[in-house]
Amino acid sequence: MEKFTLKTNVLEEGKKAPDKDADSLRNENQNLRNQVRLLMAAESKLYTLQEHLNQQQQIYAKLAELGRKLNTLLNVDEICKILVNFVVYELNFERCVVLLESKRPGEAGKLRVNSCEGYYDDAEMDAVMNAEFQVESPVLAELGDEGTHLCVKEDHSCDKCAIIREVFFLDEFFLFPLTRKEEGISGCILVGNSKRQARYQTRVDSGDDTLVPLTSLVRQASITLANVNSYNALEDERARLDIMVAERTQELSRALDSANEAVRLKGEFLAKMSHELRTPLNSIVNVPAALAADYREVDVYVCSGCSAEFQSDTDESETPCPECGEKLERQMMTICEGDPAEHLSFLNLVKQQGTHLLSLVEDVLNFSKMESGKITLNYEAVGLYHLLGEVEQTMRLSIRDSARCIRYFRPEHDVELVVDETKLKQVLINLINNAVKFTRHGGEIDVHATLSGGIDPHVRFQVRDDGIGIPYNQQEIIFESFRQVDGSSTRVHGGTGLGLSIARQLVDLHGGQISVQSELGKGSRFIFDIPLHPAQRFPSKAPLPPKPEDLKDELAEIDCPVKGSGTVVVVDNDSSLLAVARKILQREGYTVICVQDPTEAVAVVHREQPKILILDVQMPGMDGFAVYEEFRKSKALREMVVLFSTGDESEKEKVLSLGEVWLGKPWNTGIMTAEALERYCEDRRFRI
Amino acid sequence: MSLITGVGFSTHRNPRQAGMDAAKEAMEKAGIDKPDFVFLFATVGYRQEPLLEAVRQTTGKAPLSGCSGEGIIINGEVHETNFGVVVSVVKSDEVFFSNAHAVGMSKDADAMGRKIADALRHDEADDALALIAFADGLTLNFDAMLRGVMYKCESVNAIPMLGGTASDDWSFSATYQYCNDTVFQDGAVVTLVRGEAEMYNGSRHGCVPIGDERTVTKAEANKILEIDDRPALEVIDEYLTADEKQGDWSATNVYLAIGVRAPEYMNKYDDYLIRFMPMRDNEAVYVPTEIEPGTKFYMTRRDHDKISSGNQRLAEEIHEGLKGRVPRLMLQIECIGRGKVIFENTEKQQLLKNMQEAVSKEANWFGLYTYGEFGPVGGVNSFHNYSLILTAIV
Repeated sequence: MEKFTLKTNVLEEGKKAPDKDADSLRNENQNLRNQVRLLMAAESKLYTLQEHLNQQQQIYAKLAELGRKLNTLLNVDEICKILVNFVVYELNFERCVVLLESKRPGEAGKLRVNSCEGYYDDAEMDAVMNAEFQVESPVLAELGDEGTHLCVKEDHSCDKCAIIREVFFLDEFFLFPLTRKEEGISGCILVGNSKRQARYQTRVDSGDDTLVPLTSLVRQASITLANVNSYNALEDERARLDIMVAERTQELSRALDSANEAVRLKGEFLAKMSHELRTPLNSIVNVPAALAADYREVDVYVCSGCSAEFQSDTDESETPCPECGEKLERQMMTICEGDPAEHLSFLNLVKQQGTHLLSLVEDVLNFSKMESGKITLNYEAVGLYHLLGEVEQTMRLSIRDSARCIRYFRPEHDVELVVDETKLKQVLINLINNAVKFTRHGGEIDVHATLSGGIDPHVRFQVRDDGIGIPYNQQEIIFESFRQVDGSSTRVHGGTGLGLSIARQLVDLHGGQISVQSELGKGSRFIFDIPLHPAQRFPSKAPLPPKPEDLKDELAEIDCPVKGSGTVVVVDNDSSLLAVARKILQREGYTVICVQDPTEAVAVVHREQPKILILDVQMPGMDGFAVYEEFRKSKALREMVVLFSTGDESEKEKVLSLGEVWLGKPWNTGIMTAEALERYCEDRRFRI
Repeated sequence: MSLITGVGFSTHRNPRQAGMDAAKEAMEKAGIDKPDFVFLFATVGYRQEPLLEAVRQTTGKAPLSGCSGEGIIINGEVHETNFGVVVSVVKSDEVFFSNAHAVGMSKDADAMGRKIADALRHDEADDALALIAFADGLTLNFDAMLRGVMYKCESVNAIPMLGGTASDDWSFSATYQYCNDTVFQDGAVVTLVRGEAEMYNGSRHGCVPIGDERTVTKAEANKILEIDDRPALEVIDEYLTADEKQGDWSATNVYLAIGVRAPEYMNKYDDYLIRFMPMRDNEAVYVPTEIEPGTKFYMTRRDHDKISSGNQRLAEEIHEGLKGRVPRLMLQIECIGRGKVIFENTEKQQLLKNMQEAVSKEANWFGLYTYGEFGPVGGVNSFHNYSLILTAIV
């Protein structure tokens, strides 16, 4: 025996002591033992309390540190991870889960697990991470306000708790709501233990030592997450604005590029137009000068008696007439020393260049109208065969010298279209002219018109050529304004570059679409569809199309011009125009009276009662319509055909409403033929 | 290369993190990428499976033996906590470690031991140095297990058996043993150490007898029914205070143990072999070894001074045996009843430091608090309670 306990010693010593003293000593000894035991118990308790206080102090210090750290964070995932780690590794619960409102589309009001800790089994971890709760679920419904919580101990049993136990593998747990001001529950924090590990963890109970730190943590978490959400919302808004600014900047940049490109194209266009306009003007201005050089003024002496004429370079005014001896009178005379055939050729060139200049100006004016949105369509019923016939006739005259063959293919049945005939013809003529321009001599051009039924009935026009073709990458841009496949200053083919743009806009205005198929070196095919009005879906009862032999007859008629007769009064303040009119109309067989003053014109018309009146609309002092008003109700003049001459197409409608003829400036010489004018007269008589 | 070792530990509450940290530290200290063998001790606050998995992953699936304990011991530190893990790694081309395990201790400890023997085949190893065993602390039948493990050997003492029983946190609810990838209960894992090395081993208990000598008059296996022809429980109660009598036995039994008179061959060890009484029911108390009627014993209580002086003396004896050499690895198996239940923390740490300094400051030291300890005394493989088993591998 090395040592004995106090108890044993006392007993052995007791045996040796007298009974009375022994009792006294025993009692004293017992008292001392009790005191020692109390002192030891008190010391032990104090020690335990001190340890406990130290632990609590450490926890609160860590909570304060955690709060400072959370305040510096902006990432929700990081915050949640720190929270669960703190609960498990500092507050010593086995498990912690943070659920937050789902941000996924269509999951409003649903809570999903953001972070969890204390799950070391992969299957458990997967199950927990995929768990979800509705904010409105019964177990959360009780936790409306900040500061409330649910405390479920191991022995507690209820249906609401069972689901949490099952889903999160917890046998005892706290459930704390995470709240945002006025927005209710935005998430929750689950803290708890499984039965197996609970004895090694901080237990779930309602003691202050457990609850105070947890409640403090949850409050801190709520504030932090709410702040982060607000911050993130601001950041999202800022990012959204940044994106908008970037997009807008890009749009502006694109617009600027586009504007710059437009400026460049317009500059290019102006340069081209300068060239295009000056080229025909060159002929128009210089040919007359060249021709004028062939004319010379000479002195001619005319006999006052026998009217004989003598040409002399010396003064013969004092010399008597060699024929009759009468006095000779000196006169000036212009003689032409050039070749008449050459002169005719030059005059044709001027006409050709003038016509070309006119088409250029018309293109520009048309485009300008379209750009300003001023162009409107004048719909009228027109037969397809008629339309194609008009185009064919126009083109026949136009390409007389071009050595290209144009073939027209019509559908089996005619159909009546409701279109702006002029505009549609313009489109077709434009496309055909383009085809002519880009097709070699002897090339072939086909113009097809086909009917298409179905739910969207339409007429499909196709203009095909076997010309130079269009590169694939240029096929889209050729319909843009100012664009040409070859926009260079050295280009071979002239033009404004507006023709196809105008064509597309006119087709668009008709509700149709235009496109191109082309292969470089093999030719192009322009296609456009014009919708049929519902009433036009069936072939009209229009007369059958003229047969080729009929067309020949028509041509024959054209070849044998009609001679005009009667008086034509031409009223215009422009003397040059009057001179031209006189020349043209006299050639056609008419007696021509030209009047410059509109007020005088009224009297002239009443006096002469002409067959045809050509009346300028815009004149100083009195316009054409005012002049017209002066005699329109005159019965004597009811057979008189009035042609209003104007460059303003907007007045066409007014003219037509008066039942008269609209004559666009510059005049189409086709209209100024006796054939055309006599038709108008016949038509007038027929109407009367 | 002789024997390279390293010890790492962690008190992180995350089992995966703790296992990984401890294993990494051990390997870093050893300076190796992959050990040949791993010892693992961990406390029961952890979920054991993820802990073991983390250690295994970190150590590259090296063979592993170990068990749960109430606390862990490392160089200069004792951690009696629910969350502590110590990993010791070894690598050598001279000393070899192999292990085997079996379950079924409570059903038939002998048969369980035989299974281990069949798998371990230590009887065939001419260079066997020792067996290091870790067994379930709640169902242990040491004698039967020893018989089973040694059934192919000449005797149950043919190879020294060291080690101890797995424990928990005094809750006596579940203890865990580890073998490679397996966490199990009601079994044992035994590690054979063989090769060219020396092992020094010693043991001490710190109990002193109280009262008169007693005699077991009725017993069945490890169940004591009567003492001095009186009901065993009645006799035991005489040694308890009123509080102890009313308290939970699992707490009370810490203060009281049986001291069986040691046989002659143990005279260098102590006068008594200590047996604690982990369980009692309405008629008997139970001890971890079989006990024959007629066995003389004293009731004992742990003695603070005897524990302190005994530890120091044992450390000095080991040091003397080493003759100045630095042990490659020190294994300390300490009874759970000799830790914080009797020593204040600072004192306990100081006691350990003194002991470690007495053996060698440079030794890699690891250990565990157990419910029972295994260690040979006088060449006889013995079970101990309230004891310290100190082993040096050099």
